[in-house]
Amino acid sequence: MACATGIPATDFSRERQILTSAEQVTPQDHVVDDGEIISTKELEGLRNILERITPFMLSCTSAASEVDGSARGEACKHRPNVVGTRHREGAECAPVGARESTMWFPADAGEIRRARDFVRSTISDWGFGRIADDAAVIISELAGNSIRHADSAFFVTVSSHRSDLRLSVGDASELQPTTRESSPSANAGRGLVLVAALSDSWGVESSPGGKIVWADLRR
Amino acid sequence: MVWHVPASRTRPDATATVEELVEADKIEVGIEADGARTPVVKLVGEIDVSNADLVQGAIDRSIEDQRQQVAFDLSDLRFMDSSGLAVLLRVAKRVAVVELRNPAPIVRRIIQITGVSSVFVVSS
Repeated sequence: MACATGIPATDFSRERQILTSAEQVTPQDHVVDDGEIISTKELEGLRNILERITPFMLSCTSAASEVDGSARGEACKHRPNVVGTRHREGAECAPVGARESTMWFPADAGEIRRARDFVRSTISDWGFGRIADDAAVIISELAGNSIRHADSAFFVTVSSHRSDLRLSVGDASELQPTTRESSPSANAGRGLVLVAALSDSWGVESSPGGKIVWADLRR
Repeated sequence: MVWHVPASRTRPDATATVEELVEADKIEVGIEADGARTPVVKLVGEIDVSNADLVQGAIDRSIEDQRQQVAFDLSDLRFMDSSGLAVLLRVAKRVAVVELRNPAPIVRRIIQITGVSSVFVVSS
């Protein structure tokens, strides 16, 4: 298939290792939260964002042991418009040496820390350990914005090619992040100052029903 | 010399705060005083949007009406982002001298990048 975006395909076998508390569902995509489908609107919004940037897969948010096959079956039956096959084959698009991993997180401030841990461990495995602290700050700021300003679930994608690393945070809000003048007396608005300073470049792309903020770093 | 203020007698609020936060598995805020009687607030863990308000409240209760000098022992603060920095800056707005002891490299970097180095006394 054509790879219009140039974004490397997700290595799903790798992702499975990362999602230690979740179970990846193949070949169809289901999102099951304790056996209940997450609200259709939110799910569709997220799916639309994801679909734009990468071949993707939705995963159970509950531990595999807590969600059995029948719960998944129920979910499919009741939400055929949401739960469908969306996994696109695209392995041939991945440049040699490119890696990518995506994880998404519910709209809960406690998830910001998990997002940092996900990024830290992933990029350390890829040999970017030296910039793990910088990446953690960037993710913390971007995910923090998703929670604080958008109250949105968010996903984090980490992709690398040779010595380049891209961090992306997508959420279901079209609100663009804004930089505010920073001074010692202003207690907010420093987040994006940090993102800009710790990355080589950064930017925002709108996506259907949401946006993606990305930051590029180099090893 | 570093000594613990007997919390049960002089700082009941500080003790309550430590227990509350440890239980929430967020961050630990403890207060001591050094030989010069500077209150030393020890921050342990990570600060982000999820717990910045909690940490702020705990610090405020710990230092009470201290206006002259407060020191933060950051040797076990593994991580903070701009929300953590905002907590420290709010303290600096009402306390004349805010000392940051042993910040991790990333904490030091955040302070430098955001141009607020002059607000604090940073010591290694």
